[in-house]
Amino acid sequence: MRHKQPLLLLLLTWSLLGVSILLAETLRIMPLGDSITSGITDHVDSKTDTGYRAPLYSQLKGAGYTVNFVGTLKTGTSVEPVFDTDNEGHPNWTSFQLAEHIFDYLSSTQPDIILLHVGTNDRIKSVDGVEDLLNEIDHYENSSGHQIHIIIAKIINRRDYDPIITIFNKNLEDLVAKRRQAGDILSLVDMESNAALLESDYANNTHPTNAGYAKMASVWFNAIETPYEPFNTSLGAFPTTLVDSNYIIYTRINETEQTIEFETEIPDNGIKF
Amino acid sequence: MKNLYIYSLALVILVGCGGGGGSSAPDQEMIIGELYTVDHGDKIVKNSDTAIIYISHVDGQSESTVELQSGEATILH
Repeated sequence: MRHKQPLLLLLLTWSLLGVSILLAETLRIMPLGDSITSGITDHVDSKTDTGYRAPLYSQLKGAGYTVNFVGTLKTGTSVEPVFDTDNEGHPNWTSFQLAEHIFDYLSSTQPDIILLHVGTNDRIKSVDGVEDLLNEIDHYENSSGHQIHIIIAKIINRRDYDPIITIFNKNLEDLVAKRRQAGDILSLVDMESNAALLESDYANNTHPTNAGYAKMASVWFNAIETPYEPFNTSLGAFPTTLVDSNYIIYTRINETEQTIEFETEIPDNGIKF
Repeated sequence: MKNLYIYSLALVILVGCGGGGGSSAPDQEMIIGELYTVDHGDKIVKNSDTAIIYISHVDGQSESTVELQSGEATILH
């Protein structure tokens, strides 16, 4: 048995080295969105607005990550403790506006992870602007060969509940399922529910207080910590094991519950299960 | 030899009668809006020019839930 001890020690060293290498690897994270990413509360101050970014930075550092927030903007530069203030939080911007500029932002900052919270200023049920944005990110990935893990948030609602945001979020969920099925590296976090913002967590009808932003930071942190789960291709392929895709009217996938529902015409030869 | 013949005849009769159990469920004419459970081997055929169904399925399970949305259809078990 004694001769195995050096081997065990070697394996232990390797495994510890592996962990430290993993933790030492710098995470290049782009906080991307509008004023909620910028961190506006009940007033605008680019020197003190931190939003979820400062508490998230602190949580990631505390967990041993080496973090580099990236972006062409700097917001929260006079806040203590000092944190990495780089971001792409553009107050008042819609997803359509972000889509117009994202290629340049990515080219100059090369993030590995994007935290995307956008749609509050769209004020529509449609997620067409987010789809444009994802298309532009795909464009960047294809031209640079650099893959990005995009973590998209179902966005927080307003203090006075806005049903349009809930519908927008449902459409966002469908969009993410469709894009994941097509091979995009996307994860969805439910900020609307999981941040669990109370009325007292809002500084005004749109923006959280710093306490509210800290709740958002925890949701982002958990999403970053969760190992990426690729799309379950067998689930997505189920309808076409029964009928030709020409007959299928719509498909809806719930990856959390691993369910698929769809509507289809019955072909002349029937559907065999 | 005679006994063997009788036993064989009895066996043939039993098999021919289906062994007295294990018969499949009867076919079901679907009613719009009602939920049905189907399993591997079941088949749904339409009885009208067009028919549309909704199907819900949990990954890894053999069963699915179906609902007729329009037209006429039958589940063959």
